[in-house]
Formats: sequence, structure tokens, C-alpha cells
Amino acid sequence: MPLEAAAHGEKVQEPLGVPEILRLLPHRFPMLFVDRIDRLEPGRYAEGVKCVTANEPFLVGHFPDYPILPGVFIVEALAQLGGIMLRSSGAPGGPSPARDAGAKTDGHGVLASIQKMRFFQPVLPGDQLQLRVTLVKSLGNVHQVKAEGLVRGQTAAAGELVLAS
Amino acid sequence: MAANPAVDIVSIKQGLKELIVERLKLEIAPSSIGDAVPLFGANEAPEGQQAQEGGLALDSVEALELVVGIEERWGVAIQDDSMASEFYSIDTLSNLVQRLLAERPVEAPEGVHAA
Repeated sequence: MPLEAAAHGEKVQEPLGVPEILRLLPHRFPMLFVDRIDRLEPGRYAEGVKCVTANEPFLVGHFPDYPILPGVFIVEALAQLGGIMLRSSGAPGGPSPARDAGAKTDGHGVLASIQKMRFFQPVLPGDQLQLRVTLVKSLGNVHQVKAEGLVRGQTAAAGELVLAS
Repeated sequence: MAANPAVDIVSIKQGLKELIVERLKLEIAPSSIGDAVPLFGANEAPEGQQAQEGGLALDSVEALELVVGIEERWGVAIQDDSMASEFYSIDTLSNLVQRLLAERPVEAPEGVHAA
């Protein structure tokens, strides 16, 4: 880890919490799906966490007798971390967090495509969903991202997203 | 000796057409894509050329998918700033791929000239 950190220079050593996440994402309750950033290599790779509790508003209806995190919200959590990974880079088209603090829809993180996404196991209240995103390729303002969500080290969902700025 | 088939412009064009149809899941025959027709909707014709009708009107997400496909198929790296005019038609794209293949660092010629 220290070696990798030295190699990439910009990677965070301490996890980033909600205040930093709110600076990097325009999302707010009830649509904020990243609780913590554990690794951040701007424009390359990010790891984060989404914690699921029985108190989530959408679990009231999904489902009353079998609360599970909707698969599309797993995708949303991965897309949000992808947005963080892209926004934190100083690349052209990647607005700086400071300049972008009041942004609504512009900037990175708008989903343009969901590809080859598969869901392997349900994500339940009490689960900590680990999120991993890796940039595959950028072309102008569209970015292909490999994304994976894991629970206790087991893949819960995996696929590719295209995010557009 | 014959030209390396991987660098042969005709096979590059054929490969590009197959790639476009396969990766973008188009329901057309690869051979139906003309060499000079515009592939993308948003691109302007290169200077001095008339924009042609009958293009595929691919969008930016499909362009990205195509770039990833080209990189995988030919083992080249397409830079983000090489775009616009080179991403116009099969003709311009095949020239780009051929140039990138020619510029590519020569790898260890393992067994290539053994025979």
C-alpha cells in the first residue's frame, strides 16, 4: 500500500467521509449512495462503501416482507463513486470540486449506458456494500468505467457503466 | 513477402466494419457500410468535403465503445485528442489504425521469423 501510494502520489491515505463526498457529488438525501471513500486515484480508480440499513426509505416498499437493496441502486452507488473518481481528477471536462459545488446536472456522473451488469446475490439490511470502479477509457466527455460491488468479499454485482459529463 | 495482414488497409477496413456491427449490435451486414460515409452523427465533414448522406449516425457512447474495441482488437492506444477528423469514416479510421500500428513499439519477435 505505501508503495502504491508513493507511485500514484494523489491517493488518499485516510478514508474520506461525508463532508468530502458532499463536495464531490451533487447528490443529497435520499439519493446519496456513497458513505465513505476508502481509496481515490483521481481519474483512474476508486473504492468506497455504501452501508445498507433497515431504515432506508425505499426498503418500505422493496419489499415489505423481504427488504433488499434494489439492483438499480447498486448501480447508482457504483455510478456515484465513478462520478467521484472522475470529478476528483483535474482532467479537461472534469469540473473542480470547488467550482462545481453548486452544480445540478452538469459535470461528470450522468449515466449514459449500463452494460453487461449482472447481480449475483441480494444485498440486505446490515450489509456493507464495497464499491470499486476503474476507468477503462475516456473519449471526450464520455467515460467507460468497470464497476463491481461486493459484500463480505463476494461479488454482489459487476458490469460496465458509461458516464457522461 | 506479403504485407503483414494486420497492417493491410483492406483487412483493417474489413475488421472495422465487423467491429462496428458486432460491438454496437447493429442489424446490418458489415459489407453494407461504405468506406467514405460518415459514421457519426455529430462530426462535421473534414474540411473541403461535402457531408454525405446515409451515414450510421453513431453517438458518443458508441464512439467510445468502438475505441475500446479497436484498442482490444489491434492492441493500439488511441489518444483522447486524436479524434474528430480521424473519426469520420471507415477510410479515416482505417488510416488512423494503420498509422498507430506502424508507430507501435516493436515487440519481441517471438517465433515470428522462426520459419
